[in-house]
Amino acid sequence: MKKVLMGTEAAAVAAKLARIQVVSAYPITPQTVVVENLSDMIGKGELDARYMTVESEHSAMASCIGASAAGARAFTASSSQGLALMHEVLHYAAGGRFPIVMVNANRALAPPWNLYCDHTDSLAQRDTGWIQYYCADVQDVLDAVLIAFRVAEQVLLPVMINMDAFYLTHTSEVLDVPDQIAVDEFLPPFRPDHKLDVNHPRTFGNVCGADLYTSIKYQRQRDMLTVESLWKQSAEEFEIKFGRMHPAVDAYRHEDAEVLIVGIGSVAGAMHLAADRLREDGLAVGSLRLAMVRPFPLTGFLEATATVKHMVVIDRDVSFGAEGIIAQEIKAALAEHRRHIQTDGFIAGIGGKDLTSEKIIGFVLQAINKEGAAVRAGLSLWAEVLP
Amino acid sequence: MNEQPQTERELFIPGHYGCPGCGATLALKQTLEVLGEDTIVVMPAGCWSTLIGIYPYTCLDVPVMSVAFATAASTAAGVKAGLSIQGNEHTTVLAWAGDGGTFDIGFQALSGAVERNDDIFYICYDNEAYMNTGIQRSSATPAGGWTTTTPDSALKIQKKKNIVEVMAAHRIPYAATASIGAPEDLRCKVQKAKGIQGTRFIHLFASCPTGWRHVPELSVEISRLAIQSRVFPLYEVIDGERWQLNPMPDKIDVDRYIKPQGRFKSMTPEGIQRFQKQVDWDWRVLQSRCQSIEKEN
Amino acid sequence: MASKKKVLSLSQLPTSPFTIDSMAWNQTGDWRYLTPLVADKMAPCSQGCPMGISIPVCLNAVKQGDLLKSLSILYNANPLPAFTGRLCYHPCQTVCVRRKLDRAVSIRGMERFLSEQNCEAVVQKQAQNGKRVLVIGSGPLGLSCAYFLGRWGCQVTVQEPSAQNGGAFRNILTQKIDSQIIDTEVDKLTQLVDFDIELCVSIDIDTIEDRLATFDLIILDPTGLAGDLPCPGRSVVVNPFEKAPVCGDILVPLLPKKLMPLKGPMIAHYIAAGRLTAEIGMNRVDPSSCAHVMPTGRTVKAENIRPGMIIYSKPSGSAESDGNIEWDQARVFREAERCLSCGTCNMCRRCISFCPDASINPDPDGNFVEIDLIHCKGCGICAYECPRGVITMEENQQ
Repeated sequence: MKKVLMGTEAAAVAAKLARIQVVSAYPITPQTVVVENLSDMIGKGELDARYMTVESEHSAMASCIGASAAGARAFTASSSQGLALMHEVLHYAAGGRFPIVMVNANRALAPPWNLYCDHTDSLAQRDTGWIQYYCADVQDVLDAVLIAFRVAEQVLLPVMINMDAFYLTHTSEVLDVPDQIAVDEFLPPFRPDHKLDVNHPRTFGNVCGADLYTSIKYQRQRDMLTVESLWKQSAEEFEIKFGRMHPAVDAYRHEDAEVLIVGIGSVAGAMHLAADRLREDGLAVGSLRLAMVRPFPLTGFLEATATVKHMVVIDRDVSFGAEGIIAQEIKAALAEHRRHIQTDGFIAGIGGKDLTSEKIIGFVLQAINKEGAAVRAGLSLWAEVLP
Repeated sequence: MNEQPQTERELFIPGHYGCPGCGATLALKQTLEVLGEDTIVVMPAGCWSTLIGIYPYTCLDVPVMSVAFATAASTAAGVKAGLSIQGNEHTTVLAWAGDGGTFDIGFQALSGAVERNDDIFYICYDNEAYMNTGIQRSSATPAGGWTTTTPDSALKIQKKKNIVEVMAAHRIPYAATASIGAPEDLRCKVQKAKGIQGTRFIHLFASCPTGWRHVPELSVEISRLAIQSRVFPLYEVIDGERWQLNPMPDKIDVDRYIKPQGRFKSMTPEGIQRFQKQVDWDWRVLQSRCQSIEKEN
Repeated sequence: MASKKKVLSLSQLPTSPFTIDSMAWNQTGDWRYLTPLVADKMAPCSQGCPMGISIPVCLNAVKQGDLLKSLSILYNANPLPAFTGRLCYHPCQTVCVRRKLDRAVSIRGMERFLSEQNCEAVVQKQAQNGKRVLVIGSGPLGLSCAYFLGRWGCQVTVQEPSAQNGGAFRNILTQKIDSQIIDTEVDKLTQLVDFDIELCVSIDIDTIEDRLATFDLIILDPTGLAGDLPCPGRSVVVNPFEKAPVCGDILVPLLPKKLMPLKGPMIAHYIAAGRLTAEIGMNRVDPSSCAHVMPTGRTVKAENIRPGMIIYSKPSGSAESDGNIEWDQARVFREAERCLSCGTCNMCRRCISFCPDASINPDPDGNFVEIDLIHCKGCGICAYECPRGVITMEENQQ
């Protein structure tokens, strides 16, 4: 069914289709519409779920963990400060192997206050062990939530579905909304093997010695590393059923590219345009969008970068004292090729600064020609800073 | 008195790491004897989450969830929501937290859960300090009580926070104090609370020989003396409005409570007098609160 | 010791960190340096009782409705409860810890009640050992002697110089007790333990030793005789209250000054002396038998009993006085309930309730408590909280 929805509305619709059972709701711009809409759906009887108006995001994630541990499908949404507040409990959710799905609106972190698009919030959580997926457009938001629940419950790890503040949360698109029956076929009910059950009483998570702790973490890493292929399988089934593909690595015109523009999130569209325009000027440019950032989709990434010579990475985030986080990730992965690949990292589009195809073209040219407007600070080139 | 365990199988298995004479272990053992096997325990960081056993072994035969320090009430509320949506309204979800995890770091989550009237049973086992980390002061530590962060050179001056008053201010359906020194009273209250819908809160006084510096055999006696001296009186608050005292033995001087405990050893006679005055005042206030409600009725 | 399910490979690890087994394998008993000892001790009342009756054990049985058990305990120490239940000066009641709360338990009154119950089932004669014993004198000492030796398997004959059972004690008895009751009480013994009493038998001190032709042992109860202690030939004077071996087949028990002349209220002492004399006699005629050995035990002091822990509120109702009222079963039961069971475990289960380590448990039949030595940490709460002084903390044995 076709509907015009914005990102937050799409997320709520997806959660409803996924038949979530417990929602923990705490408001923060720009995800609030997600939980508002879910409240109304539950109130009207469109969704049979327990709705918890918690008193902070820390409690939002904790209550999702409790619900998941009891065997229920749990969901919440957050952003920026709220996500940061949840940090301790994010580790808990992943370490406890709870297949919670959370929609995160990528928003800049304070101080000073800034409500707009920035990826530092979720990227700063990349070590928590959550599966992280970054949506390109609003359809991607809706579909990814459904795929996320399926993968999460297979591998027993939580998934963070990220969408850019305002570019996706508050931008409407014409969407293809799948029908409930088809979604039920794609996503079966949640039936965990391990849960809090008075008929099988066990203790969860008590103090552990170093010996077992190491093995438990190894087991978790091992399982995390299966996610790239699990996502691929589920995405392929989704494509068969619903006609749309959502790969972990979205490569465009990369087969013969010498230069690849790299980015995550809604910048996808601008990257495609920039690549097309540069191709018209005779440069062998393609674009690479990492949809999945955790686990790092190494297989897909290495395939996409098999022949590339130069990477131009756009980071809508900063790891202060080092460089852009995506640039770091890229460089580490590229080392697997065992050949030198030039990588130029740009810090751009943070705090809601627009990223247009013109600007991206400028970055590519600066990277190639070694001159341009972006200012160097250590390993990165910073766009549009005051002189 | 003849106590017969209420459950068929033993829910509490020996071999845990609790200190000899630990009041907190006694508290949960007695609580579980009433609640029975249809109980899920959510316990945040604290003495219990460490003494319960080393992974992958445990000393409890009910489902237990170890959770982050601040999240006892929020996780418990989530567990309850998860059970409820699956059609299970009968299992008791017991949030079992220490004073640190209730009065301090878990305070916000507790307030949130109680305000929402989430259907959980919250019991705070109070040993009056962060004992698991080696005896540090919490807002449940009494004034004048030695801890490593309120040493003799800098004893705690703030009074103990009155958590039951805070709960009452939320209009909670049921809040009460209880103690390992009054096991029949505890059993009664746990049984009563079990049958009530909404958030139920029990503030459970649990002696700590290690932190309070008394001989382990006196663990129950010290809790008893706390009741008798009215340092820890027994009372209930219904719907945040009706305050009622529970039967207690005749009042004694705080001296008898203070003397066996090494944590009060540097209290001067003047300090004890001040302590006595404070206890007497608080007791009068509590009594008048209980009486004034009767007058209205 | 419980075994420990071990994780030896990744496949055994649950995906999510849930436990797989209990902590029972952890021998926390290694932590302790004091070990609780659960042992019934003689209560102050039993310590005061001249016959050493295990009074709280007896009253516990009454409380539980097990009259046979209470009778068994009583008759193990006292063959003449109808007498003592009326005459005894009840040193038990004088030290009864219940006095600290309201009034002593009316132990003597209950003894009288029990004396009226049918005790056939519990008073049984052991297998005959073929030894013949003559007891001269049918006062409480003589009768007691006869009773115990008879129970322990001897064939006993009692010869009484006077015309009535009770000998010189008869007059004292009849002051307080109806003749019929006295005779019924004595007949009960003769029937149960199968000994004969021959009345009006004149005793010639000089020829007593000739009787050794027909008897293996002769005991001469001197309490009725005026004047000096009789010492027939080959007789040995024994002090029943000392446990010294004797070489002689004619025993004359020597009683301490406080028991001479005869005093009605001291009747329990005579009965006790009779038993002790019987023990000495038994050692002589059948030393291999250990039927008569009375277990000795530790005692508990009255100050170690904490009635305040047992009774939380002021007891309601008044204590019974045991004057000349009729004791019926209901009244007796109520009175037995007042007994605090000092030194004697009555399975109140406080220790079990207060153990932080679940290391003290009832035995499968619920008759006594046992310490789980593998796990007990020796904190001492059980010993402190037992209001009856049954549990004490002992230093570990090396």
